Amino acid sequence: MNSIRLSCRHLTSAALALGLCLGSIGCGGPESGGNDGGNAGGKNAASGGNSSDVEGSGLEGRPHAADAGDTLTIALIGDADSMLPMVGQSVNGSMVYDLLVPPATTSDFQDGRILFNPGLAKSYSWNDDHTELTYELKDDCYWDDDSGKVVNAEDIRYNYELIADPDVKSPRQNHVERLDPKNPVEVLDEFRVRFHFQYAYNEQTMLAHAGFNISPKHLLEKYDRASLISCDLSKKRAVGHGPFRFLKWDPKQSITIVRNPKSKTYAVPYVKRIVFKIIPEYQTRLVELKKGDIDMMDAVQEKDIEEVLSWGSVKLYERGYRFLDYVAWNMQNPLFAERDARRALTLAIDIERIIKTILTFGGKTYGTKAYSTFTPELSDYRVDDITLLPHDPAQAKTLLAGLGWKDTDNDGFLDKDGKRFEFVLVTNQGNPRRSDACVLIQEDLKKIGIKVNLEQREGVTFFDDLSKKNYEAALAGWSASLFPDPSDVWGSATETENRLFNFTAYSNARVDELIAKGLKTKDGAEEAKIWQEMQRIIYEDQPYTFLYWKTSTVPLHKRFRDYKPNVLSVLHGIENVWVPKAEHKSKH
Amino acid sequence: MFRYVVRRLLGAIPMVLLVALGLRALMALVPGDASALWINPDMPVDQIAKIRADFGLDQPWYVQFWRWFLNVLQGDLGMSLAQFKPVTQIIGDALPNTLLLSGASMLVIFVVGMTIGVISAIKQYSLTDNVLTVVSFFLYSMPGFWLALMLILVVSELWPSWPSSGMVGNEILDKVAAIEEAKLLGETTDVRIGVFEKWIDTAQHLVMPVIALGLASAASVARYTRSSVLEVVRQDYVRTARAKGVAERKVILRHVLRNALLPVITILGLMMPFLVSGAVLIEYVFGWPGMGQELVGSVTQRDTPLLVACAMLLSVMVILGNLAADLLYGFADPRIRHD
Repeated sequence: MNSIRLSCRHLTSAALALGLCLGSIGCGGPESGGNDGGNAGGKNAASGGNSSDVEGSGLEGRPHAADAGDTLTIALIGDADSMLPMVGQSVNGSMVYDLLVPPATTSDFQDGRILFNPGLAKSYSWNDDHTELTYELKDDCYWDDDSGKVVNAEDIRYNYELIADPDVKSPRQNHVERLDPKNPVEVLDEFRVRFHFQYAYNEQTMLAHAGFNISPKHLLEKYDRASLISCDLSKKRAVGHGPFRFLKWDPKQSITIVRNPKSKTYAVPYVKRIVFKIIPEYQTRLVELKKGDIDMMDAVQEKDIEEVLSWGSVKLYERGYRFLDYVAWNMQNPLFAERDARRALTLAIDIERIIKTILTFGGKTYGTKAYSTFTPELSDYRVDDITLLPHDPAQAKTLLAGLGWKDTDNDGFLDKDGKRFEFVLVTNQGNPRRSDACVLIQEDLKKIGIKVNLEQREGVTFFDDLSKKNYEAALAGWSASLFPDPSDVWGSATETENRLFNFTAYSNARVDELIAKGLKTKDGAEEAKIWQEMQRIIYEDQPYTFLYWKTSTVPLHKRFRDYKPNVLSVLHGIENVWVPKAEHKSKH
Repeated sequence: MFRYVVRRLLGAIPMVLLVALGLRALMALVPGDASALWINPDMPVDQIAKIRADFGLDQPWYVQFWRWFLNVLQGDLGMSLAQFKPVTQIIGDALPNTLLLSGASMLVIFVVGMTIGVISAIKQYSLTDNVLTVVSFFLYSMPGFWLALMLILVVSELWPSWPSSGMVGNEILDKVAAIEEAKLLGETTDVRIGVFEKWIDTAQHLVMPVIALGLASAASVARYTRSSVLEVVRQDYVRTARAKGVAERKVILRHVLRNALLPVITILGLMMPFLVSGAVLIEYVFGWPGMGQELVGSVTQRDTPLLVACAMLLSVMVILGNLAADLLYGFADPRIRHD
């Protein structure tokens, strides 16, 4: 079974680019043919394997059952905040609980599209107008708390009831906001549950919204709803039905999970345990990876890729484009209010040079030019024939001259009405890639007579300033959603929607119209046309100078075979990863 | 002396509360608050407003302080707004680890610093003194963060099996997991972890952070000790002791060192809070699960209850450090009495 878990985190429309995402292209390296050797090793080990290890493990009949075992040690940059998906906030937490408490549906990413498969559910069906989704659940999935209770329709309904309850403080409101508030989730019988949507929209998104990682009702209902965020199920243990079971959590040190031999939602994993070690410092993680004390970490910085490959012990896996960096122009500032001014700024910035300077190492480029907030990974929404603005400083100067910006005092900088074209470009602290890009942009804009002052702000302050439009220009980033909902970034602010994430104060009636229409369009082809038109308009308006999409590279020790991460999850298909018995490191 | 200690401790309470009050006021000036954790495009604005109201973040800072103060009077330091655990529990988990790291570092600082200082002083202007002086200045001028990274890089090349992060090695983690797994499945296991095995593992993990944290301070103590010993060694009573034929070793240890200790004790007392706050970067680099990581996290997440508690703890450390130094004066110099 080649399925992946779609964590609730992936449903977040957009979030400041801090998290993890994946890709599926093996990055080669000098010994990228590890799988062949692995298979050979596996066969040898299998012939000498102990069949008693397989009996009762749930692995009977799986091709590498004789090689089952070993521990996968993964470095996390910070501790998990919760083991309860409905209140969990951090990527670190979701990496762990997605394996313990997986969503109701499994998903995969093929040919630029997300495909959903039944997981906890045996099957699903739609009514005629596509506003009702019915799951038929498997009847042999049991909660792993040894209560003997089966995962049933009431568990699902109760989880959605809790998410919608403001007392719970669940950040997963996207799962319930488009359900019928009067009757969101209906239990038809023990193993059949029906979701009632207010209207039909993108089918993948609807399936994702109905596929939340549910927790057991018989335990959840023991707690006061307001205290769920701090209860034992959130802070000390996890109960699920996934391929792994929770074992131990030492705060700020490590989290250990073990194979669940009774897993029915996914295949029983070959790897016996996964240990998540918390190592905040990147260089320390890298040293630990080199020494073999950890087997995997979030991502290797591009400058270190050649060195990591030179070790010979680690294979790199390239992840898809999920991270976008852009320059936001605050349109409430008179300098950037005119479209031609923003277009001129984009014309003046040499984006190719930025990509070449900060994302190209060892002859390989780890980024591509961006033109939208829609990731190019989603093939349906790509605008392949879009004409990107070239790097053309002369045209930029002409456009600015048309707006009255000329160097009248011969000081090398443009001015108008006695005021110099000068602004502060801010970015967040602790991101060398963005601060390097700022310097390059400063150089480019100086060439056309614009003075840029650079500033870095602490993370929370930076976001606060962006949302309050307390900045002039900002180099920021998004971790792009795979489920399009551009309303928060590009929708106009209204009396009821203040659009915290519309940092540029962008407002375009046609874009608003397209967003409203796109979010309620079920037909895939029609929806794609809507989003493509919207992307064209926004690119013409240039509220952002879209810089680049950045891929990132996940390292994994070569003894692990058949690792196939994809754009949805670092731990995609982890149940299929195996280590030849002769190469097992774990002794117990 | 007991009354003196009690008086000093009681006098410290208003100071600790003032620190808390000042910090609350400062945090009110900083943009953003703990509700930033919930701000994502899927979270309706009214729900974020409710969360802010539930946590009292919509109130003026002095109202928040007053509520917090009333809770503190009942022994409740509040709930972390980022971790949703009682602040006392978070500190209870982290503080022992930091104290272990700081305690071991203090030992290094004291032993290494004083030894180098005394040797430098009694061999003044010799090659040894010059070399130790240069090394001391070099270590003293090294940023702890850089020194820590260099240690990790160098030691991992020379001795790859030496642990470079965390508190527990993979071998112990493996055994713990095997034991816990057996418990979970209701099975028996012959896997055991010896007490010494665990201690040795922890001690190994402690070596690099202690060196990184302690070495620069040891260099500083060495300089203070050197100058203090040089001052004492010229005193008449030292000359008299030597004239009486007292062995040089005895002269140094009994007459010189004891009298040279007073300024060093002051420095060590002042170093106590620094060892907790100064461990911030060291804990981060080595993944040591202590107060430093909590302190940084509380600032970046605007977790005021945890931040205030950490700051109060640092204040208490300052007070205890000074008190300990004052009490140690009495032991070092019998002429000093605490009444």
